[in-house]
Amino acid sequence: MAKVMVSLPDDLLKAVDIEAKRRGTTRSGLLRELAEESLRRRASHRADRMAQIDVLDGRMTGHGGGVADLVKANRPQR
Amino acid sequence: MNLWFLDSSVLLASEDPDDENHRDASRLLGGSTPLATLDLAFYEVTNVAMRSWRDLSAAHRLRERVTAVANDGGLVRADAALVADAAAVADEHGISVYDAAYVAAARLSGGELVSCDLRDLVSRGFARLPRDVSPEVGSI
Repeated sequence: MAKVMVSLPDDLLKAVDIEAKRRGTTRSGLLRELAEESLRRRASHRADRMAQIDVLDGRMTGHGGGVADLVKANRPQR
Repeated sequence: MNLWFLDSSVLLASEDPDDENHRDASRLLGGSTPLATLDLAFYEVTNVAMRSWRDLSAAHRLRERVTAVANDGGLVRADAALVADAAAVADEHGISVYDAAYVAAARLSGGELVSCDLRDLVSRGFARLPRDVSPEVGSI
């Protein structure tokens, strides 16, 4: 696991330490948890949004597959 | 925690139930691991939806999917440095600058490229197929 230096304002650091104590973890452990939570929350919003998009403008229909070849076929040739 | 970097074929596969990668691509887009892509994907997915599929609704959904990915792990924007890296990869490996741009962008973002392009990207070790990527692989 890599070690990093992070600069925080004094009052934020104090709040971090209070929260770490409340959760029974270390300062480092809390910052790791918060970073993970933040990234997971964003990914979770994306996953929810994908489910909404699935039914936008009606249901999706099949187009015959072979999408990788279609991408290349539609690129400019010169 | 991993970051999966998607090329346009994965986004398109999620929109085409006939594609062999549809199920795995959809699972990836609905999974909990952060995703990112390249701005080129906006043009490529729309181009296929409009020119090959002639499906305005699909084009709309695909734009929204790219936006959702951009709001998650990010949208890498092509610039002179990225295209220079892509040109070097293309020259060294004999692939198109378009494909190489995804390779270079994935490297830049620290992610791993996922593609349905078996011939030019997966078989050469530049990318994984969606079926070889668990949405939760790399999770903490």
